Amino acid sequence: MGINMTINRLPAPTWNWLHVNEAALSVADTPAEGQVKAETPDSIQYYKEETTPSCFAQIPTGLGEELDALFTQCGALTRIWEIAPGVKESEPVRLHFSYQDGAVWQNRIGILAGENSAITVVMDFCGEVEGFAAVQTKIAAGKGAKVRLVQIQKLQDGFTFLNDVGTSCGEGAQIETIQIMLGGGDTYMGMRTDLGARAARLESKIGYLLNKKESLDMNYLAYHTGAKTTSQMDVSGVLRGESKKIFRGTIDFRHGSVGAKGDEKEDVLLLSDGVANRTVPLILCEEEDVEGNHGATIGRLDESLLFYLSSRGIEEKEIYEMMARARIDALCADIADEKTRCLVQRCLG
Amino acid sequence: MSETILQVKSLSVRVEEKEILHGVDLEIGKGETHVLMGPNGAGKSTLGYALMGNPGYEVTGGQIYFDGKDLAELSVAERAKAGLFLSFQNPLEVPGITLSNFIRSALEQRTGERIRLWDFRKELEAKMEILQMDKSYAKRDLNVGFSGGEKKKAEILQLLMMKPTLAILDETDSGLDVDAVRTVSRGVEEYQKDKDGSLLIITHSTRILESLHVDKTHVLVDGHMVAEGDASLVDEINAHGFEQFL
Amino acid sequence: MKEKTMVEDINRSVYDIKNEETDVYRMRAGLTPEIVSQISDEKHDPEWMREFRQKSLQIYNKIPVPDWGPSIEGLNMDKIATYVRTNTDMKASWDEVPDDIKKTFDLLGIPQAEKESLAGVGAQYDSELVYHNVRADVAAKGVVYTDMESALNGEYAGMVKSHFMKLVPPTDHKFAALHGAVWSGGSFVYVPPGVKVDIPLQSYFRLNAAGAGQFEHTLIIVDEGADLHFIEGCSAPKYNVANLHAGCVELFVGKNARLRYSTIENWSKNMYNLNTKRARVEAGGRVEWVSGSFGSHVSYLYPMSILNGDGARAEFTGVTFAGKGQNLDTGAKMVHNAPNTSSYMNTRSISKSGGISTFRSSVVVNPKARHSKSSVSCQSLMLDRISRSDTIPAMDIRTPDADIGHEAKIGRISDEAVFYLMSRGIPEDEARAMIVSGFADNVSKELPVEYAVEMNNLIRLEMKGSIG
Repeated sequence: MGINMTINRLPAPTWNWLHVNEAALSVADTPAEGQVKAETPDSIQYYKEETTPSCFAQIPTGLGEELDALFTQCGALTRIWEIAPGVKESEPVRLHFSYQDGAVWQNRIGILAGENSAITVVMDFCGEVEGFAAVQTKIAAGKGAKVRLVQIQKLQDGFTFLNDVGTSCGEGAQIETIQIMLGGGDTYMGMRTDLGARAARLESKIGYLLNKKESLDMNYLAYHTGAKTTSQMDVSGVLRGESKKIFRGTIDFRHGSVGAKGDEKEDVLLLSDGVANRTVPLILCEEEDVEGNHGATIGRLDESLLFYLSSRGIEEKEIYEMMARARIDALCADIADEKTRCLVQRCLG
Repeated sequence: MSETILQVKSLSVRVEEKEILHGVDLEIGKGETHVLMGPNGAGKSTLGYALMGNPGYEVTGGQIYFDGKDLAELSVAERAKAGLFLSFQNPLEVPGITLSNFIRSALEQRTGERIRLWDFRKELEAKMEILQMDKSYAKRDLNVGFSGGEKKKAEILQLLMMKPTLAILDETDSGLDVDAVRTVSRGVEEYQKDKDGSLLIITHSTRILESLHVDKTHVLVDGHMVAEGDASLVDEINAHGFEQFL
Repeated sequence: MKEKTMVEDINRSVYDIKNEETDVYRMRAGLTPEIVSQISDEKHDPEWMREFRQKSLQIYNKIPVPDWGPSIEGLNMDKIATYVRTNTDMKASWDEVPDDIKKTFDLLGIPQAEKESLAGVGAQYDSELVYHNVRADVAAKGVVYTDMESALNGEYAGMVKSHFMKLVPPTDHKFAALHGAVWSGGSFVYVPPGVKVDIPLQSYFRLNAAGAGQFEHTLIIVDEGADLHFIEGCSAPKYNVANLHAGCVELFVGKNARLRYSTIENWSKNMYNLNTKRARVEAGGRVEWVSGSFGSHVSYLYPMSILNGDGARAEFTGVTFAGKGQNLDTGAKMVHNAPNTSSYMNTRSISKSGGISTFRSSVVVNPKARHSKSSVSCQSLMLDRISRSDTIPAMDIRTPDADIGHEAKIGRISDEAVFYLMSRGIPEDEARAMIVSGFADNVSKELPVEYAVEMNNLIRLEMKGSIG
């Protein structure tokens, strides 16, 4: 059977001829739960739930309701990692998702961070086969909690991967995410962060290298309803070959987000003739006292940067190679965990 | 004069439809240190950029010969490989590439050979010591979050590592405090020690020149070379300013 | 023909045809071939235009209304014929002009004769005279400046036929099709090769002729190396008993030619303004849009520039002010189809008293547009927390050599700036009005001084809530 879905909907649609309002997707079969190898520090509790606990059920995600419904429909378990209030764990939870055959997989992950706790979850998605997998991660961050999510993706041509994240934040909670996408067939990524309580913060960094006929379709949404909330999204990537990418990034200032700040930045390097880059950065606003900014640079390297680097004797072609790699290296340097940094370097080759 | 390393013949340069340099001549011999002075907006930095080949600076007349080669035929990178170096007034920030990796790649690009990490690191640390740069800077991304002074030191560090035959220092002393100027000029002295290394120091102040040996001074006003002299011209400008040339 | 392929490319996917049952119903209840044929009779249409109108009507009946922008529910699409009939048979009287419009005329200091003309109820002889004088002046240089109806049957009939709705075909969207079926009035301008028109041509006088200003068509052809500044509209609110405006502007900019098209639109606040403007620019040519959007209840307005020749350039400078009861969806579209083309967008939007302003844009850089450059800057100002301001830009870039920059900013009036002005003795509401006028200076400094002054007056009035 085939399941048709519409995902990654732009929160405010624009001209249909741009083909950015949503993504349509067909899933060949009902997904079965995929294998996850987990390494869990002692301070963190792991358990699973047959039905989604209400604290997660309420959290909307980036890919949207239709994918959420698919998870529920196929009776997905929620595997939960919970950190108790006040506990700060520096050692990450490591979740290894390894896809070794061409079946259709799903995983539903919950991260529950108690008040003033600190937790890091590192996920890597690797595989050398064609196939399909959907992974949904929901984060409920309590008051003052700090949650770091690091995701590394290195999949193959012909693999369809859905990486869906949803987050809710208590007062002063901090969410930091780093997502590095280094390979796949058709990848859909989305993240919605609900900054519903005072002074909640999101810092989201995304890096990607696309080549051949790879495609990446993204939908990121920072939903500000709390006062003095802040969001920052930094996206940087490289397109080569005939790869395609859509980035939808939305900062939504709702009533109540007095004193909120939202920043979005995208930097895309285009290296080949056949690439297609689409960027749709939205700022929606119904509150007066807010500050929203968006900046994008797409295409070539900046002339003055090219001049500076070539004045040191580096040829233009080499500069482009260096700068493509530098985008990922800069992101990688922000990952505290050394094992994960090494993994990224190994994937880069 | 010793063997000529740089010869600029009636050079005219245009930036965005406006001619900035109108037929400038300049000749620098091997191992010599020249100073280019002039009021703000005279076209000093334009000369530096034109020599290095910034694509935004169009040469509309004249020639530049460097080490016997006509620079018009060389790309920016080729000019660098030929031994020309420009220290930027405002060095750019390059996230994701560390200072040390950057210098090493530049050196490897030039020679086409891999450089032994151990030797490289030893030399880099020695030069950083001279410039009183904290070793941690080697591992930081190029110029990212560096203060003005640190950026200028990073430029001089690149100069010392790359050992060009002619270095152009564009306002390397501007915006620096007294101590930083002293450290930077110590770095420049280190470069001068190598007798073959020539220097063109672009400045509108004279602080950086106090401890340096100067062979010749040129004064550029409104895109014209208006005066030429020895080191004493620096002192004269120091005392009387540029009014006499305007 | 190259231009045709390109236009089809753009349109193929604009709207999906669906919902046929209701459309059939609409056809019956709405606009009929007989009504359209009657318009042809009145206008003495040549045969091709008769057919064109009928074909447009068929397209109109097939295309659904847009599903992405502000709601146009207030427009009764089933009774569209009444809008059209009102247009062809408009007999309003000064007494029927709403008080707020009259008050605004007074505040802007417009003399009675002109007021009546603006309201579409007065005699036209004053403005006709001015119009003829302007026409005589430019005619000496070989410039053709006339109304569309005369052009259609006159010496330049062939040129009209080969350009009319070639840039904005009726298939573009529902209201373009409506326009194709019922258009009436507007200006035709042809500037021959190399001719530089040194005074701006102003269509303001013609637009206010009875029956025009609702479905008017503007066709401007600036030939190779020529130069023109055309100004359309004015800052006084234009009252119309029918509340639908579906005009169309087509600009053809030849090789190395330049056209500046300035417009301040200030429709009465019951108006649905669904206007379509488009320019095609050949090699080395340049189009400059200067656009102020005030008034109207709902606006859909996104002038498009199609850069078809090497080195062509487009600039769009706009300001939009959405006050109480207004939903203004404005912006621009840039299409790069040739190498070394460049586009610049610089817009400001202001939302006040519950008004909604949306900046919407697209920058499309096709694979053959190597070494193209585009820079977009849009800033939005929220004046209170009951208003709304959205920024919806899109970029579709398909060549690696492009240099594309985009920046968007949203915020409020800085308290410090208000405090600073107040510390110099300026009352608070005046200080805020000054700051908002300053915010809109991207447009006012591009306008001829009398228009800039009028626009600033308009902002001041909007700021003080004296209008609407």
